[in-house]
Amino acid sequence: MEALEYKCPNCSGGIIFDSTSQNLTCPYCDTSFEIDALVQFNQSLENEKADSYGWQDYTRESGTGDWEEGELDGISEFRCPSCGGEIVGNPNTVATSCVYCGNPAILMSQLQGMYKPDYIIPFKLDKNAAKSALIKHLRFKPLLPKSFKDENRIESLTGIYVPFWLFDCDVDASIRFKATRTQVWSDSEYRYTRTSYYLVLRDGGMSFEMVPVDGSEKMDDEYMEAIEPFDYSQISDFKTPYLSGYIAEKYDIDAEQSKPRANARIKTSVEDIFRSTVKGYNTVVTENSNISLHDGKIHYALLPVWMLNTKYKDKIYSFSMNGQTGRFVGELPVSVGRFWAWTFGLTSVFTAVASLIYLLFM
Amino acid sequence: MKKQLRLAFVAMLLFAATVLTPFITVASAQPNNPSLPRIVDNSDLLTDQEEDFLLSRISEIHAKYAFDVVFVTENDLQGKSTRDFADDFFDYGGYGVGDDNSGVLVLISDEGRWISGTGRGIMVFSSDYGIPRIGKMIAPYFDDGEYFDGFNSFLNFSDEFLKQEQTGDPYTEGNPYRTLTDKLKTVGIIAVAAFILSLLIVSGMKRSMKTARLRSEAGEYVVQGSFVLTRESDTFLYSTVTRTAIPKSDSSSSSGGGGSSSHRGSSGTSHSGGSF
Repeated sequence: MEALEYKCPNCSGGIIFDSTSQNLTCPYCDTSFEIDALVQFNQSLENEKADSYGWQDYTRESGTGDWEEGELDGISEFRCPSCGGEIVGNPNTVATSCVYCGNPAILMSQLQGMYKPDYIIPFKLDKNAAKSALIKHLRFKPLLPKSFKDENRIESLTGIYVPFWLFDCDVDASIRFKATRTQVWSDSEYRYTRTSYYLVLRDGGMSFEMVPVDGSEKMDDEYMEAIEPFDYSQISDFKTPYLSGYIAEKYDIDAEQSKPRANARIKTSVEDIFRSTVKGYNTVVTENSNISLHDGKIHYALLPVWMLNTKYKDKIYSFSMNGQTGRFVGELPVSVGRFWAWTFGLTSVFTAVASLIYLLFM
Repeated sequence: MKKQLRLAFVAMLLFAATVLTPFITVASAQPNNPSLPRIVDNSDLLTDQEEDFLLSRISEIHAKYAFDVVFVTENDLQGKSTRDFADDFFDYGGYGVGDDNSGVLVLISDEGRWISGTGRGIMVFSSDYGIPRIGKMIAPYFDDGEYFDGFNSFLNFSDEFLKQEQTGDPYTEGNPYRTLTDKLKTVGIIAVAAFILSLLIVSGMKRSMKTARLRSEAGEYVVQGSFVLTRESDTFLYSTVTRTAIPKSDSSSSSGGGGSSSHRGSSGTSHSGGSF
């Protein structure tokens, strides 16, 4: 007697195919199978691989490369080119304004040893746009403490070119789902439920373009992702003069460290999109997903962000505005009194309306 | 002495009523036999003042609803069941209002307590709904020996049930009578549900105060038209069938609908009835 072993899709137990009885039944859970379906299921198990992320390294050759000859020369380091005053900045500051004369200063020496950005999106919205966006943001906020609007003072309002890594890639994916379809019927004594299990396989691919990952330690990732998306149709090649009048940071999280964040977001999107092609089932569970990423290219770009810090009752509240699209995000304080006032107010309204309906019509 | 006189009186009336009833027609708002005693307290459970008070309320119900109410306390049921005694007492006594002898009788005896409805009483004090519903609410008084409170409370509920009957939509299983406590309980449940709903809404408002959040995906950066599927295979693997027994519905109790089950007394008159 000859025996072959397969894994049961229901309980993962080993199925013994008894060649004499021609019967294919799991000895553990008593489920029986079509032979073709079982073979396909076990084949798809064997073919599963680990995810692969084929990013090119970001090097001199892949990016714009080094600064051109003379581009960094002839500028006094840490000295204001207008008044000669000494400029104190943090080691990552590339562009700032002079504390003495207020003129913009670009600290070219800071750029040495770093890559030149490939792209830049210039600021489209000014200081006043950021201020009015804050006022608009505070409107229709019933839980905001009443005094916040009056007592809240803008501590600082800064336009910053934030370093971002932009990830381009093609993705091939192979995803296995377990899906079920249920039928319910009944006779005079019993209600029956038939649950049919399906092996659903989807292979395919898609391309991603310029998935941004914040390259600055100082900038909060939550804020930087919340102000997405930027309009890349207005992206241009990096030119130093764009920095004038704004603060610019250079990256302190390199491309290598930023890859996992890009991978995670890309993988979730791929799974979501594939999942949306599995239709007509009652439940769908992703059992295995294998993603292979290739032709991955990384770009280095400076993107415009307005940062607002406001002070209320000795606490700093920060807001960010997309300097191109005006998308405004932040965190506002919640008044405990207002929270409960609204909760009990709504409770009374709902109770009154529902009780009235009950007493009059029921 | 008083008791014997009453019994004699009732016996005489019973005889008279049996013979005369077919020939008597009375204006609908008046009881067919206004002079009959509406409270026959042979077990002496009520004081005279209590009886006077209850009688005045019964007269109000006569006037308001053209509906008779009779209270009987009697321990000697002459070998009859509480049901038959109550039905016969009502029928042969000549109680009731109008051609259909509408009315209700409450019998209190050592052998049990019984409510019997006649005429419109069959619908208002139905065997299926009215009698058990009211019986449940007044039984505690009788259990505790508070007979006056029990009868008085019965008159309160009768008033409400009869008032509801006049609207053309009497209390039934499908249109249940609710006491103030029932209504307050429901309003309480509504208030709790409203509180939970409000808390969810306001918590949502609180969450929206923070708009700086990480994104979980990168769907915005998928190149348009780049998505292709190279394999789409859906293979049936196996199926399982489970069965659960359908709970048997008790067809005899639910078939009543808006009607009321009734029985015929020895006089041939239909009654609703039930103990409490």
